Amino acid sequence: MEDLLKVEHLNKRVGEFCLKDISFSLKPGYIMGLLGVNGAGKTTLIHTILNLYKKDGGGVYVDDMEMEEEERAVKDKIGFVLDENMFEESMSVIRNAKGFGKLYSKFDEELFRIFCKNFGIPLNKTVGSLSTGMKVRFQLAFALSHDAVLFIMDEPAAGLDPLFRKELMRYMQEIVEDGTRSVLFSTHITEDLEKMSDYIVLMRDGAVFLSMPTVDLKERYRIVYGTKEQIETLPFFRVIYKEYGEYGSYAFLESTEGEDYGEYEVKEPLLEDIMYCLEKGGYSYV
Amino acid sequence: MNIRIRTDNNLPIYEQIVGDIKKAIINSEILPGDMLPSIRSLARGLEVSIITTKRAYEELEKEGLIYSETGKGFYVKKPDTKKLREEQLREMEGRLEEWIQEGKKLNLTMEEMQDMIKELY
Repeated sequence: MEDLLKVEHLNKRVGEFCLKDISFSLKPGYIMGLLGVNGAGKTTLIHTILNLYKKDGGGVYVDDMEMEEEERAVKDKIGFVLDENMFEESMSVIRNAKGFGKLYSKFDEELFRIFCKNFGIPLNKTVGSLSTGMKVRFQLAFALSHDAVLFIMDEPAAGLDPLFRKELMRYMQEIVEDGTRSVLFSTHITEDLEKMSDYIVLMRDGAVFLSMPTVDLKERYRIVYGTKEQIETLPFFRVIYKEYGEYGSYAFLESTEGEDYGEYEVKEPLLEDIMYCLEKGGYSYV
Repeated sequence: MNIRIRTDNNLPIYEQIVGDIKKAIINSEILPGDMLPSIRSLARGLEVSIITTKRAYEELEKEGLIYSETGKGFYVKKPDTKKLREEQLREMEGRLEEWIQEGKKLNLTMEEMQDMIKELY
């Protein structure tokens, strides 16, 4: 299957910060999560992908069209939800939609009105007066109304109440269900990615530390529990990080197939564990 | 067919799905020839990733419990009941062994544990 989104050797300097040689791709029909601690470069990457920041090198391809070369055609296919509002704050929701809808070849105002109704967005309020959660809803309603195939969202879940966060995740699943559309979204909330993301791109210091299916990522590591003495003298290699607590200790290690952990209690780590232990363990490959 | 994802479980989600579908096949909740939900609709129904359900079906196919027809979907195979039963027994043995270890920690003799089982059976 062809890639819907392909990012190749993307470089961008913003002040002191650098995106370094970012490459990954996403096929149609999947959800990809962009994960990383604050400052890892998630937002800069999304802005560079969307050509809001002009890239220094590399390429961004959507359906094999290069973003910078065919910006109009590429953006027609992208629905975005951004942290910073790209809309006219002083204008009403519906006027914004009508105005910005003209930039898209397939904007469907009727559909937009239906989504607004479903999401409880007041059409005549100004965008600037909407709450954080409402702004996300509004952007999502707009993105869903112009027949986009690639949905790019920057921290859409931040500032949302748990109820709409869950709803948002369901919308993402609905978007990808027919296999023709994909979602790329950044978050620092690992819980959102735990179950529903197909792929994870883990960023660190402006670079991609790893990019793989979420199930493989979780399979790649193990957490082994034991007493302080047990963990200190752990007979396994590939230990990335150990933590000793008053009431129990554990080691975070890279797993190998068919390894027998014997008497030790072992679990598959949560993404949260993976991020924490990699951060503490210095992001070393073993 | 009931499939329940437990996040407090140490088993990977796809293995939980495999386990629940296997159970449904053993208990004849789904029958040979029955069509399974598509990978994508199951993913949405369970609120898990598509790759998770895909992996679960691949695993079930490898174990010979389901088969796929290209372009159509996945179907339940006639289960090898003997093999499934062996597997269940092995799993039960494993769990029993854990309980015996627990019992030993509490200094229970074999007789005492047997009495416990007799009483509860």
